[in-house]
Amino acid sequence: MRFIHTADWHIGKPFAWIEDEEKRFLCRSARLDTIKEIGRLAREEDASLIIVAGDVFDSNTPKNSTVSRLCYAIGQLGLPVIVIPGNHDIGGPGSIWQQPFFQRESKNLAPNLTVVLEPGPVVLDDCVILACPCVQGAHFTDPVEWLSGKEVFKDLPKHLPRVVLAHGSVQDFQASNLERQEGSSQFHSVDLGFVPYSQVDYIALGDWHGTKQIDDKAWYSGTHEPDRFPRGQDYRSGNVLVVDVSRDKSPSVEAAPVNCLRWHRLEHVFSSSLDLKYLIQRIEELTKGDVAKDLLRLELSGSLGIDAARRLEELVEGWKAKFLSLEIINNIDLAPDEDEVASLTNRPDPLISEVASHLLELIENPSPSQDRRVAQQALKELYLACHRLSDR
Amino acid sequence: MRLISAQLANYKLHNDLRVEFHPDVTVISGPNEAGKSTLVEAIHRGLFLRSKTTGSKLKEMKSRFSPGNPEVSVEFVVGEKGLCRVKKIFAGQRGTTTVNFEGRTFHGDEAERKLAEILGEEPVQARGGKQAVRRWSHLWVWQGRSSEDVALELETAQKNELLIRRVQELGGASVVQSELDARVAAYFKSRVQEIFTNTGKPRATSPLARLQRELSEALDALEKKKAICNQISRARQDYILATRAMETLSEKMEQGKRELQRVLKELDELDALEQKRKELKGVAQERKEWLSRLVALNEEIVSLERSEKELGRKFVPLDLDLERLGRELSELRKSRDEFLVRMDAVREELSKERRRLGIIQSCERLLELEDRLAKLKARQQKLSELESQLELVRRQMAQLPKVSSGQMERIRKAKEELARAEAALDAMATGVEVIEAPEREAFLDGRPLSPGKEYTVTQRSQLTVGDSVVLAIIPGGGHALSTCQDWVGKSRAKLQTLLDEVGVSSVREALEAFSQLEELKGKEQGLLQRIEDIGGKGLDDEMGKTEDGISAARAEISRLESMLDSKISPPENQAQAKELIDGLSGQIELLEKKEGELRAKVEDCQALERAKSSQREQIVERRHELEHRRVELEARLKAKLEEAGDEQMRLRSIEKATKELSEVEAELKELDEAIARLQPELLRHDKQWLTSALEQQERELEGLKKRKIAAETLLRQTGSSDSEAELKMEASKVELLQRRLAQEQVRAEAFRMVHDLFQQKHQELAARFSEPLSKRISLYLASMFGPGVQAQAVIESNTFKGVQVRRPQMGDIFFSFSELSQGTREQVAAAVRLAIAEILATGHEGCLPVVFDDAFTNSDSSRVMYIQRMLNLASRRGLQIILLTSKPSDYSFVNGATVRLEPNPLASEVK
Repeated sequence: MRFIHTADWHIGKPFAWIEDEEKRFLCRSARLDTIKEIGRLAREEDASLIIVAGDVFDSNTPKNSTVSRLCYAIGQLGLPVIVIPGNHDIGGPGSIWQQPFFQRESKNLAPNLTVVLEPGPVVLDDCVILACPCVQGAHFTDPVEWLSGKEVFKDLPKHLPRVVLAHGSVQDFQASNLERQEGSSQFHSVDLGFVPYSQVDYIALGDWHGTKQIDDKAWYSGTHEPDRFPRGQDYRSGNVLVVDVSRDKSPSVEAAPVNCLRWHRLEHVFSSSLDLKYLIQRIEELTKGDVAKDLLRLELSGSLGIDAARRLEELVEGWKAKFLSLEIINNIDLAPDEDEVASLTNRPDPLISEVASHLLELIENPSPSQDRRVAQQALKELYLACHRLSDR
Repeated sequence: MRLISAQLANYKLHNDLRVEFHPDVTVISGPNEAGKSTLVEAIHRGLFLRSKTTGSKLKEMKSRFSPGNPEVSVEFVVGEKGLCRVKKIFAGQRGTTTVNFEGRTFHGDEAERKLAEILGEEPVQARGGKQAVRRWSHLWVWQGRSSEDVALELETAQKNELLIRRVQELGGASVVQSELDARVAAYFKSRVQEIFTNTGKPRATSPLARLQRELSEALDALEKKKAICNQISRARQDYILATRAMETLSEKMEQGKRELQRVLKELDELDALEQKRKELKGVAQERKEWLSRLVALNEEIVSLERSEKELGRKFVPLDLDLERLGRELSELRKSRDEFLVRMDAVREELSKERRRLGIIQSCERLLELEDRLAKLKARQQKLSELESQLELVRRQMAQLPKVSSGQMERIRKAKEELARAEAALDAMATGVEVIEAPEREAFLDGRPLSPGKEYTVTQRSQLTVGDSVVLAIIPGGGHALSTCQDWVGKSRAKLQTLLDEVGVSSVREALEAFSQLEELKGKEQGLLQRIEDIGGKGLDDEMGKTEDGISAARAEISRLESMLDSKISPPENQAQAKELIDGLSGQIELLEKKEGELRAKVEDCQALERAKSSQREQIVERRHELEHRRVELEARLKAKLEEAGDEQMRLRSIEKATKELSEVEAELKELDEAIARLQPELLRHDKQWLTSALEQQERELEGLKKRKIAAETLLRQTGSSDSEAELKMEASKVELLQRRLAQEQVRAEAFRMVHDLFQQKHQELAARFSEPLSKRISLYLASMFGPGVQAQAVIESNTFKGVQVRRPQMGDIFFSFSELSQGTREQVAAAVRLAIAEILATGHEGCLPVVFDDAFTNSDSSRVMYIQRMLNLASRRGLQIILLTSKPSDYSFVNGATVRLEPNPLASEVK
């Protein structure tokens, strides 16, 4: 039996840190567009089911328009979709799942959607989904705890593959899971120790946004559409998992990319003003000439002369228009080059050269009372003012 | 340039004055009005004022003592260039200027131009009076201007630029700032002013302040969003908690209800058992009562039978007593009857004796009454005699006029009064006596008077004698006679009236009648007394009574005699009667005594009889009572026996009732045990607390339902906004603004830093630049104020702005010139002038004169020594000092010469 394992759609995620409203909208829309891509892949792979391991919504209070769009997108998939609430759209009283509007919209627009709000088995024609939804006020503190019950597997069909559908952070993996905190009000962990492995064939996990295999049977699919800059080399997101399962056989799992947008993290160290050209080249390689398809976190360090820094600013203005988001971590040390220093200090204007020398001294030997950054900025402003005003 | 001499002619008060100057210090002294200031003014004009000057300037220069035009000659040397002689004659358009210098002589305008060139000035233009006055005002301390700010004087003298150039040459420093410096500094200044207020706070219009505002607004908005999210989150929690609590509570309530059901069931059982116990208790009570009734009846019957027997025994002594009392009573009656018979006989006897006594007593009375009647008849005889006498007397009295003693008295008094009136009349009367006259010749009141006869005239009378003589005789004089006559008349009339009343004719007659009457009255009185003495009218009554008594006595006697069977011979007299009475009285007394004795005995018998009778009646009463009780007892006993039957029957009934009672009591005991097993007290308490606990839980459940509904309401979403997303948006906005604000702050601080640095560097440069000047000023000040004093020449925008002074004893603070005291100010100003002069002297072959006209008037005398020290120093450093003072003794230590000016005697005369 083949199905698609996906999770962490985070529909309605506001991307609040992106200043431009239009770009925020594009980022939000991409998450819905990618659902279409999943549908295409499912058809291509001849999957019979899509399971979503939590956090379909980014919040428990999505707007009606968001709800409608999601339901429509799911309705268009053309095959059954099974969803459990995650920690972001946690089930329970007042949750989105219980809002009459959602219930109406899902019934009308997505008849293929099943939201499992209580822990328990969902027996389908070709498999059994052991749903472990995140529910506030549930009796178990761990969503998978119910699986340790003696009677759980007694009456399940013997021949059907069993798929655990859960959302939460796996114990071993918690320590390194540094990114998951973002926007999440509750920390849900999943202890796989509760799961009788022999009784299940696959564990579909959500919560971790990168694709990750925990063991033979347990996988995080990661989010279908990246929503953060990769931190490490092995962080991969924008995938769904195409899973083949049979009862009492190891699952076959294959990651398939479906993402629309590209998220990059780029570190660049300036050793001289000439490095600027190299940076331009690197960025062009990333975007491949596309516009509004990439999000970039650019971490700049090293040192730059005043003119080079000003040129960089001009470049950044241009890049900002092209990128969906350009986040710059600017740790550049403003270091005027020899010509710049000379143009400030060796000039027939005694005051300017005195002030400039003083500022250079401050930058060189910063005092606790005077901020080095302020001194750098001051030098830059002085430099620019001299250039601007001496032209007259 | 060093002054050598000056010569004045026709200049104000100076006719002709020549002064030679010491190369170092020249002290020009002289009293007031000696023309010291005029001298230095003349030298200044000699140097700078055009000789062709007209108008007021010219006018004021002219002498009032000599007619010539004012002339001023000044000689000075210009270093190695040698002597320069200047001579000016101020004569308006005809004024002349001659300058001898370097072997050449110049005249007129050329001379003026040459002179200006030598002195390093622009030539003064025509009508440049004011311009001329301003020349060298930094070197020339006009009187009264010693404490002026030298910066201003320098400006006046237009020597600023020159000074700055010279200072720069001395210090080797370049100009303070370039044009670009100024532009850039101005740029940063304006940026800082745009960003910050004067107090260093961000200006409201600046991006910095705007960002701060936006951030604060964003933080507020964030808080609001957080509150909304928290509210939802709390509502969710609340919903869950309420739901859970409701489940737990419902479970508890179910349990409670079950328990209550059980309790109610047991309570029903208990009720049934208690009802049954109540009924059984009723039965037991009935049976108990029945048994005790049977027992009581039996006991009553036994008791009644016993009482009946006891009662029967009580009759025996009573009957014995009755029998005895009957006997005693009959004996008593018998003896009483005997005494009564005897007493009747005595009473018969006594009655007879009493009648006899009555007869005798009546007889005695009869005798006595008959005797009294006889006496009364005799007295009656006497009385009729006296009454006939009285009749006679009364007849006599009736015949006499009735003169009472009062009347008699009034008559006597009237008589006396008449007598007195007549006597008075007589006393007044005039006697008339005709001694000799024919008869019928003399008439008195018509009545003829007889001779020898005396006539008495008591009233006015006419005495006619003959036919011709008529005399009036008036006795008594006046009216007295008539009054007296009137009195007599009235008295007589009164007497007559009185006599008439009595019915007598004269007083004598009246007196006679009165005395007869008195006598008869005495007789009458005596007769009446005698009649009274005999008994008078009461005599007849007495006689009547006596006669009645006689007839009564006789009737009594006959009545009593009729009652006696035997006749009694009446007594013949009273004595005999008395005797008989005494005898009879003794007999009666004896009989009465006997009767009394017998009556006492009868009464004793009767008293005893009454006592016994009463005793017998009591016993009879008692017996009756007993009898009654016995009848009652017998009736009751009969009734009871009818009810209860005989003894055997009764005992059988008691036995049966006892058995029935014990049966029902056993049953009751069982019932009590069953009830006790149910623990009724606890059971009722259980019901109570379970009910109230359930009610309480019901209320709690209601509260929880409400809570749940409230939470549910809050959780119902409109779907118009995503509160969690909005929270993230606000948080990002805050973050962004914080970042921008930080950037903006860095930027703003950078601008401020550059601006501050510009100011700081500018000041440093200025200080370095002005150092040659500052150093020289300090030098001069040190000569006055000692070491440590420090002057700072302030040069801004290529202009000398003034000086700041720091003295160790005044703290480590620079004071600006205007902050100094006036005395210090003139001393500091002098030092500044000297320093400036020293610097400027390089353009004048190393020397310039500095003129002080009364320049230290505000400095106290202790400072004057130091001022001389400073002036000596200046001369040593190449300057020429000209000092004008009215107190030359103050400057006795200067290094130079003293010139004394004397006042122009003409001037003082003119004054």
